[in-house]
Amino acid sequence: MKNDNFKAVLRYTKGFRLPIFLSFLLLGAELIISFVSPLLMSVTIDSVLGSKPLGTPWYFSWLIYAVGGVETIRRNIWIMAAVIFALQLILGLVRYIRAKCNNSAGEGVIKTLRDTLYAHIQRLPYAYHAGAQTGDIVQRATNDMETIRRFFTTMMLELVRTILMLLVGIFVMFSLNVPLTLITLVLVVPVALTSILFFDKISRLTNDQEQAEGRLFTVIQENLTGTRVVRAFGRQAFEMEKFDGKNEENRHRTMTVTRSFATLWATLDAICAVEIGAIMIVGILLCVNGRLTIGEFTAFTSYVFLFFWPIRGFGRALNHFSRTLVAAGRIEEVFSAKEEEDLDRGLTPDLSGDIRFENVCFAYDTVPVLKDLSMTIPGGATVAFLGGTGSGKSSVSLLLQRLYDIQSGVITIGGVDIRQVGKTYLRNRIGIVLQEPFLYSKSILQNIGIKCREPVPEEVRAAAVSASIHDDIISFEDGYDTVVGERGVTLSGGQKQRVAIARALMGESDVLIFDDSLSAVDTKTDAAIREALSARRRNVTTIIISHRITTLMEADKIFVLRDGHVIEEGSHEELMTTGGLYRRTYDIQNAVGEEGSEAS
Amino acid sequence: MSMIDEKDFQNKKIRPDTWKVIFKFAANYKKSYVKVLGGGMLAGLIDLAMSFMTMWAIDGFMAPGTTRHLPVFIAVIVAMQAVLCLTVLMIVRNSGYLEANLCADVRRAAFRKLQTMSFSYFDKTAVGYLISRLTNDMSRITEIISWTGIDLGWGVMAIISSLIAMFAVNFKLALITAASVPFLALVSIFFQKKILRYQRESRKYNSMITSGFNEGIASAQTTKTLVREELNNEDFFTVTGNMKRATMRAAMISAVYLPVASLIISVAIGFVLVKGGHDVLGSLLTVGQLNFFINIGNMMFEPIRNFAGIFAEFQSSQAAAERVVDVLTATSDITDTPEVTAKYGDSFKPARENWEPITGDVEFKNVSFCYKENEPVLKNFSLKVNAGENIALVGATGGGKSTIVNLVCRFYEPNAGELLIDGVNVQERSQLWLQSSLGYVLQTPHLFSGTIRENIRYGRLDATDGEVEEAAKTVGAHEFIMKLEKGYETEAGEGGNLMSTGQKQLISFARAILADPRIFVLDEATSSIDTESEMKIETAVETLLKNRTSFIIAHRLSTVRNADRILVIDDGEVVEQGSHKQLMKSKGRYFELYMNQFKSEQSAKSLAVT
Repeated sequence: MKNDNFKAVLRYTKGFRLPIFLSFLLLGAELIISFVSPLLMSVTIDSVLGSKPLGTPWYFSWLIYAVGGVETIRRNIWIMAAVIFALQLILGLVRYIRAKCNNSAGEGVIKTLRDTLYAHIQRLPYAYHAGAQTGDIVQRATNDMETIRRFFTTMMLELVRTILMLLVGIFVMFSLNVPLTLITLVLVVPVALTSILFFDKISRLTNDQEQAEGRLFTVIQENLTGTRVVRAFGRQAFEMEKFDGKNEENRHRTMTVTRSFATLWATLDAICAVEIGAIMIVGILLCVNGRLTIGEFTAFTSYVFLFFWPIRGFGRALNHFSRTLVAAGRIEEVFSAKEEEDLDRGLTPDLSGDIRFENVCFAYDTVPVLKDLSMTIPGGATVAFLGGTGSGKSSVSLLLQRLYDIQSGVITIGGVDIRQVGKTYLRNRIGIVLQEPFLYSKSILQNIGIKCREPVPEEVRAAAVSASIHDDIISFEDGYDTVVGERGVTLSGGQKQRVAIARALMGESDVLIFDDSLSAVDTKTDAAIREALSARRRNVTTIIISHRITTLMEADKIFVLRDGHVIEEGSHEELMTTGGLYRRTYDIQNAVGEEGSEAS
Repeated sequence: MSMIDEKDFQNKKIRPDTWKVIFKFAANYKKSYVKVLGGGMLAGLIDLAMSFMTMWAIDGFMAPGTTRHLPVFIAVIVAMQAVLCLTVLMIVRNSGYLEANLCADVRRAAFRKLQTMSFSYFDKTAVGYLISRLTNDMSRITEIISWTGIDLGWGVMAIISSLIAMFAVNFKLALITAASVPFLALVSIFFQKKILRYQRESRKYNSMITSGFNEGIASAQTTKTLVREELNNEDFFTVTGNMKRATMRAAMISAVYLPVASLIISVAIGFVLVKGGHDVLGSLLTVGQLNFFINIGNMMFEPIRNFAGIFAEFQSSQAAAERVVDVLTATSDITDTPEVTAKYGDSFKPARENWEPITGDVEFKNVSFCYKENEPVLKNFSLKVNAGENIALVGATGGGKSTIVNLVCRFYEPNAGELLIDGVNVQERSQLWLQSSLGYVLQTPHLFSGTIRENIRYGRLDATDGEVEEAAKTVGAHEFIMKLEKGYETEAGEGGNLMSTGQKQLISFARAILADPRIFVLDEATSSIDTESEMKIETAVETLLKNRTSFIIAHRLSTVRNADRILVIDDGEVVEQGSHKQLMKSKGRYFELYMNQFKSEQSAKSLAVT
């Protein structure tokens, strides 16, 4: 499992391995320069300003000879200053290129990963989304993704830096002075251990705190989106209490986290203090005994600081690495869900013919919905469906777009089995307006023209007029440019439905399905929309699903469903004489026989 | 996936009065603040002292080659480091304490304030924005205020004491080193501002990516029916591309900043080395002193970098601070007068013992109302409803039906005229007095996270399980709830996906019924429930509504037929009223509306006749 996650992390680097490798190389160069710079000072103090012979490490002496030897430098100290400056310049350049390499690699890895994940989610089947916990997937796509991003942009480099630092540092330091190197190295162990142990604890505490914060934010969000409910029940005090509970929990957990941090930092500082003290005292003793020069001493005091920061962070980096593996595992879980197949493969027949359901059986998971359903929807006709909750009427529309596959039986359009038709083609030619349509957080213009890359304003306007939403739109301050959604204008249920209807009217379709999509619209508007629709209809098979008899009754044919069967079918007049569920519903809604007939 | 900035808060300049409001909350934690500042200063002092210790080590022991006074040296260094560790412990703890408390306090104040704001406020400020103010903005502001104390104390002390120390040791070298300070400061301010700007940009794109994923997942079903997968991908890839660019830019600017600062410092060090080196050779300066000056250049840079960081941080957070302060200082359009609060209590501490029982007479007296200036919705509107009367409101969208019930609920207040409940102007009693007796069911049901049982119980907090189930049975929700795997313990929030809109409407209906209100408001409460189920509820509801004042808004006219009185509302006026029978007889607007439902049938019939 862990191994798989590690492989996944490795796989994410594909296409960016060269810059990653380069950044490791440059990091090594960077470290060498950082460790050599203090030697310059050391030589200056001991041999240039002092009179000690050049006892510096062999790999360093050539630099001194290269710039003219000790005597020349003593006469021209500016040479040393120039070398220091030059080294800083080189170091800066190396750092810059390294940053460029590792940032472009890190951000590139993440962009690719984000993009593939998003595209993957888009290609998952309808059934996956119907049952999915939206929040959980978003969490993975954002938080877990951020963990991986931080690994690739900073933490991975931290790990490599610590390892390279130990290699370069040990080499340079040992060549300077053995006892002081040993002191430095001995204390590396407790620092690393403390850091590793604490970060395990801290990351657990942080996790708890983040969850507490999440719960608090949920309370805030629900309270603000449900203000009306809170007020209508006079529940302000109750809400305040609920908020206080979560707020206190979060306050408490935040403090626990920082208390741990305080202890960690103080502990590390204490170890560091022991280290600095030890180096100073041992340094003095060694120097007095002639086994260390002043210059070497100054170099060592610089090394302590070079060493300590990465090692302090080592625990965090290591901990982050294990969190990265977990995060990768969670993202891989999303990747492991199977994408929808046959999107673009298949026939592209004319879909304006008769739609036939023959002995169709269909179940969501294990709950049977359609049981041996057979019916024929004549091509170009307007048909309507009536039925209670769970009667299967919505399934009919989902099946026609092949959003689900049936268990047995066959659905044909114009004689062609729809399983042989490409899904993209099928969905493009069959328009559905869902009961709870989703509007994208874009402008209304873009929402109606959502199928096009560049919607033509005139076409959008025409569709909006047909869907009786045009007047509403122009009453908004920004008209068609009004942005809808979370951060924009909130549309009423009826307005959303009508925007969705306008959206479905854009472009050509062979079949149009309205799945209870007029429920939130008043009767007058409902009638106006239907009138506009029938004026537009040019040989388009129209399927209307509704609870409202008036919406259904002008259809050419009406199907009444119950428990996945057709229990009644026929025209309004026919069904009225049959006297079944349709008639009953009609009577409930219309008390015909009293005022209605009186009036005519 | 486009995102709009909040228009009114684009301030670039730091305005002290904004921050004052937030600093007031810090007044409760003065002690911590003093500790953090003082601790920071102490740490700065010790850091400088350590450079002196190195100098002492070189000049006092190494150069002369003696160990005399070494025990004193050891004692001083141990003492100093011990104090430093304790100081670090103290300042980190106190800053964390400050942050946690400030954030919780500010958040609480804002949340409490929002509970008392009138609806007009929520109309003006999108909920999404309010949420991000109470979450991200507040976290950010309080974090800055709490943690800058350390940097501030430490930085001020480090700079001042370093300068004094340098000049005390060697005037000329001090001048050379100090000359680098203005350059470092300028460079730091320049880069820190840039870095923050790009960080902010990348944060913006980051939240667009989050909402992109959110939308990509929430819209998946709609996307499939529209075959929009590829276009969605394109949109998303653009945002991730922008994100990559912005983040890269922020990172690369940091990658230029530090080397540039290092170069400035190395120039100063170079000069120090040349001048100091000659002095050492001429025995005018000790090696330890030279080493001190070489190190102090680096030491001065840290605080300068911090100051620039603090400055940039405050500046870039100005807009966030203003957004937070805007919530904290908002005033509600509807407030209870002090006299009313004295008698009835406020929304959090109601004095129920002083509340008159509510009977449910409602009267509008010459009420005028508008949401936006110059766009009146109600003009001189009068209406008298007797306690226990069932009123149905019908008419075209935008006619003012919802406004009327909003006023009854006192979600808004009339611009002119008055609203009387039980013969008394509502303004003479507290908002809670009225709203505690309301049952309100909306077209778009809002459920809280928690179980179905908890959601129904929201209507009356002390209701027993039996009473909760009784309410569910009354509205016909019991059957479908029992069919759910966990029954009443099913999660209603996120898992609410399992329920249809109609089912959620039933639950919010049950919640209102449990509240046993005197006044019932049903705003399109049953639009997504199928007719047969609705019939079932209707008979139950009819008995429930008996003896309670009720207002029903519905598009399906069958729903309103049984009302005692039907009001046809058009353009903010009652154009017709009466019972269903009366109105059908008079053949006016209601008749027209009603017959409209059968227009096609009628024309079909007349065609058949001719």
